[in-house]
Amino acid sequence: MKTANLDRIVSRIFLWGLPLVVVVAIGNSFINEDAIANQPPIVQTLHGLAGLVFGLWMAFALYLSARLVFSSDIRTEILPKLVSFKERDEREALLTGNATKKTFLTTLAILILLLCLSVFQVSFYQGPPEKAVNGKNKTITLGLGLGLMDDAVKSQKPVPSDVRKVFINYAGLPFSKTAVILFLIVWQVVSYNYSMRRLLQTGGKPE
Amino acid sequence: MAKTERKSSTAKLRIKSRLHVFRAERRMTQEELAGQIGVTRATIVAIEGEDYNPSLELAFKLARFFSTQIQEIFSVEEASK
Repeated sequence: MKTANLDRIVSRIFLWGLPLVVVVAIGNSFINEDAIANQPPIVQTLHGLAGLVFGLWMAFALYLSARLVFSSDIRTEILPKLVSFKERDEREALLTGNATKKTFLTTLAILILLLCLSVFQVSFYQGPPEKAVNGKNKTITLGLGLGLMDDAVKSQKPVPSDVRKVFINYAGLPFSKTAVILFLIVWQVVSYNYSMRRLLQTGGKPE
Repeated sequence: MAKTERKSSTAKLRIKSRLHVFRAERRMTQEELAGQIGVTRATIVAIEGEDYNPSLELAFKLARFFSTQIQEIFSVEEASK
């Protein structure tokens, strides 16, 4: 099989499988892995099948990501598939560029927001009466949990263990790394698609 | 003097198109012209509506197709703010 054909098939599997992976990921967050063993065989089989599909999709995704880095041909090839739209002339190439620019900037904005949300920590709690200062025992703490390793950030606990009541305790993003990455992948595809369709509707006029 | 020259060289320009006139003279539809030039009808619509400035290559193609000069089809004027 020629590399171009393989690339075409893999890119289709990646794109068509992406919604399925999102559904499986959402479903998995509600399923207790230990409880699967006590489920009827059909549920166990479906669970195993979902794992197999996800594993296969991962293998295709890895191949595709390596090709996207090293091959300019596949970059040109995959772009029209993302929006089911092929550049037919110079104006449409310009629209593709505009959609890409929009997607890049919105993704950058989201990444900056996610960075801020992941490092910011705030807690508001009521401490024990014996630790009150001038009769005041409510404390608000603000912090920035900046660390490159996940454990370094998690180990920072802004709320002491002996507090009476916690009003607010936010210590970084509650989502898993997988959820954030999956969201960013889906965002890229959806944002590009939406921008391209909007540009085509408006004829490429600036909004 | 130098300030005036700089202002005129950085002023925003607007490309005026007379493509619809040339097309009407030839009694061609936008679809037919697009097919002859090798672009989409939407591009011809955008050029005629002055929503899109064609590349030099496309402008030359259009001029060649109508056997004329580029400046006969496209002219330039200073854009009003």
